[in-house]
Amino acid sequence: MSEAVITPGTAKSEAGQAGLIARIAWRNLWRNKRRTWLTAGGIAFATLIVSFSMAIQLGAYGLMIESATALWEGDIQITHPRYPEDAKLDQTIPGATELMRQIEVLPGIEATPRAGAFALVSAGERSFGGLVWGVDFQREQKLFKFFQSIDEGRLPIGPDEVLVGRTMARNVGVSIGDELVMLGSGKEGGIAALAQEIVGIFNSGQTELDRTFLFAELEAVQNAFHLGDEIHVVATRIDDQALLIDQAEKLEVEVGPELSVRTWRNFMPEVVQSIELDRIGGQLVYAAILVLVSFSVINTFLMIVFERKREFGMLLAIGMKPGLIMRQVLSEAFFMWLVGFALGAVLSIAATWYLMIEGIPLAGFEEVAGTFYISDKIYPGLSLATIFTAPVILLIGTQLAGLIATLRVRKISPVDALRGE
Amino acid sequence: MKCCLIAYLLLLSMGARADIDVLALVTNAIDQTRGLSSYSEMTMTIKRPSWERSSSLIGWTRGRQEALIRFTAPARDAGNALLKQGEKMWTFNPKLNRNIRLPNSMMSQSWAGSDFSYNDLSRSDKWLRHYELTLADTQTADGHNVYTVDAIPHEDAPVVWGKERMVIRDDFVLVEIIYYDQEMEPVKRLESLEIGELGGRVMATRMRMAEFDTPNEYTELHYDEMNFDVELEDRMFTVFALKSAR
Repeated sequence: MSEAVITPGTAKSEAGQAGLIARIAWRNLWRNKRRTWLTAGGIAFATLIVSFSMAIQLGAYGLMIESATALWEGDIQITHPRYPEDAKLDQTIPGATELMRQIEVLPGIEATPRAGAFALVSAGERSFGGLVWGVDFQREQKLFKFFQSIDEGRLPIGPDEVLVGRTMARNVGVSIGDELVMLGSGKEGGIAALAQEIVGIFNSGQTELDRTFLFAELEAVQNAFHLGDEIHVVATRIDDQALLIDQAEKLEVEVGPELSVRTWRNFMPEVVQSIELDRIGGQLVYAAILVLVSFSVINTFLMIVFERKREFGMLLAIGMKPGLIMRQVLSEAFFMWLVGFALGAVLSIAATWYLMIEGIPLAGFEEVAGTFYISDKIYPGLSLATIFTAPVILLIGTQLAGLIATLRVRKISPVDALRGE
Repeated sequence: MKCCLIAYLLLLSMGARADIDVLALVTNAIDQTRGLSSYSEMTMTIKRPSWERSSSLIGWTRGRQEALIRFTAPARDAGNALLKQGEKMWTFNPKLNRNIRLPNSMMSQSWAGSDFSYNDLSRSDKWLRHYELTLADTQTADGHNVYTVDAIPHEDAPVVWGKERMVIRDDFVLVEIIYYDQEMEPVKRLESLEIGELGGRVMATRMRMAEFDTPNEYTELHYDEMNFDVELEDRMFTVFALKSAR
């Protein structure tokens, strides 16, 4: 047991001393191999569990955000400031063509214009209220998954064609090939009317959408409702969720103060809330794991100090300063952490990496996923936070453990320690 | 003797006040602008902060149930028409050349972008059938007794309002209607801005509808011409006539 004890007085420089302490600490660590492996294993296990869970959570949030934004709403929306709470035909974005051209050149953002108008939708004697959207089908199709939900027919390609929801079609009593009449108010008063042939029926599974939405070419809707070059919503999707706020700020600058720019965090607070709730739940579990592991490390170091009371007493007796002994034990704690971290990080990154390629299939989720047109697998996300959060906390934990244990070193009286067994 | 007379007169006036037949008052107010039948020419002006728009309309009514309104100007809207038969409504659009039946769910929607809903437009006998009428207040102004009548819809009435408060003069001129929501908060108001004589009757000739939230957004309806008890063909108020614009 005593072969590792070297008199510290031989060290000349600061760096030499530090190197010496590190070397001694590393050797001391392996004086009790089983205990070291057990403790480091605990650290590794905590790192693995926490890092891996955080990666899965990150992936799940990505999926949640994707399912909420990719269907129809988009990541960032530009509207008239009052449109979000009071969607009136009057509250438009003027100069839409020019605005779209401006947004088009921004990197990492893709946008599509929409004009929406409430109308009485009827065929024969039956009429229902509906929301007619004038859209750019090519752009929409590229950006939004909603348009994959056509279960009969096709997308409109001419100004006299319309796409309706399954429920709306059933309510009004129409099918593909029938003519549908839309009647509403034009912008700046007056009556707006539109008669179009149904070429497609969608079934998104979202009751509200299937019951009220209709889609026609943007220009046809603008003409019918006397909108000119005005639209109601610019829906955008961005390449990188991490840049959400940056991109929104960029758009704000681009569109000016007359218009409102809102991210999905603004217009879908329920998604933000459910993510927050899950995140807090996760944090509580992680905290419990990390605290438990830290306690086991404290226990280990209390044992280490207790076992080596005689050794420390001898070192003190030959003139070693208590501070140096503390540094030595803290170094041992650091190496303990390093072994555990290396092991845990390798395992968690490997597992995450594998699943990032393979995906975690969600049993029984296929149907829901199909409805929302999202992947039925979760792909974990890897970020600096998921890799380093747990290790950094554990580093603090192990150092505290070392510190708590070595506080007793100061109280050691060399005479008692050498005499006692 | 003298004091007896005063007491008698006082009693008489009080009796008169209490004797007001609310149902008759409202019935007469409705009939005042309709007669047995009527023909009218109107100008409707929609005012918004950023724009203003005027349209010309002609209308016919017969009894309390039937009404037909047709746009004559501007050209963009000319020919659009609205037919009311009892509780049913149809609208005609010349561009599509067809009649469209309005579902009940659409009745509270804005008509032609104005502050009037389809319901408001057909100022009909709904108060007589779907509402409980009570006299809330009586005042005197400009030599008229002015009655405030609260109309509270029956439980099963097809009505979105919690209450409608009408102000009617003793010569049956409608002065004001305030519409309250289910929480009894006032939502919008129809007020008579000008009262004059048209077609031999005293009536509100200019009315304004505005929501309390947005007083600088309103719609005004001005009666330019009015004839009462005119001769009207039976086919006037049919879906067929709606389509074959005359």
